[in-house]
Amino acid sequence: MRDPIDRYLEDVLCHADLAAGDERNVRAELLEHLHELAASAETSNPMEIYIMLKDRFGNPKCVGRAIAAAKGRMRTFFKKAARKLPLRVGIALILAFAVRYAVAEEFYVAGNGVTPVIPLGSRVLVYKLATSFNAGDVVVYRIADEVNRVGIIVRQSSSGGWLIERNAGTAKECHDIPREEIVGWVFLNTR
Amino acid sequence: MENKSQFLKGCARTLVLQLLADRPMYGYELAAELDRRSAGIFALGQGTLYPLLYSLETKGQIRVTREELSADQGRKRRYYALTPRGRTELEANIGTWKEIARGMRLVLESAHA
Repeated sequence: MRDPIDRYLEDVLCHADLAAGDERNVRAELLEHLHELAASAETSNPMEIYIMLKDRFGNPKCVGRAIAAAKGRMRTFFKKAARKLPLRVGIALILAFAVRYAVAEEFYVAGNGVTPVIPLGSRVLVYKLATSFNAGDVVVYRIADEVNRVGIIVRQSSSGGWLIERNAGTAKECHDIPREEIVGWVFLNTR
Repeated sequence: MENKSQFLKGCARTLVLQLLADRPMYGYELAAELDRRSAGIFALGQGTLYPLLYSLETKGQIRVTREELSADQGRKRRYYALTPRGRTELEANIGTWKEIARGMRLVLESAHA
């Protein structure tokens, strides 16, 4: 049989269910007490020592619960939550960036390329995983790497890219844009 | 019995404050002292002492002044001492106790006279 003191202490602590820091202190403190108590026992039989501890120290379940109540269940809950917080914030950030990179990104429309469908000053959300487009879909595409533009799909071109139309002053202009230069399909805009 | 343990618990709070007013003590010492000085009447489950200590600590009536590591690893004596707030509480409790005891005695003695 395991050491009766350890067994008794585990029984108490499992009912107390404390935050890590509190548990360390309580464990060390109770361990000291239980050892001194057990030292006064006249027996070395583990079962008898366990029963003696239960008798002198109290029912482990009652003691554990009372300790939990004294430490404050809400306080314990928040202490535990605070410990996990950095990890959770980290995961949330990584997820947010992953989604932004791969699935959906938000853009500010700073020109009149697709007025009146999407007016100047709109914010749009772009779905990046679209594989195909229909005529009339609004898309965000890149030219010269860094400049993002909005335009409207006319049709797929013979080269496999897409013909995209946009306003240029009062006239319209049309470009053949390869798929890899198209950021994605605008599925939400604020106006 | 149930009745008695509830009764003792209420009093134990004041007794713990009183014992710690003399000098800082750690858990086992406190339990043994309580047992000895009350002629065994307060030999209540020693485990109930800790919830009491932690709740007094949360309320700021006592605090840990010293920690002493035992020779055995993982064991620690934490010495508790009274704070000024604890001293105020103790004095208020003693006042309440005297009043209740006087009232109890007056009624019980007149009933059995």
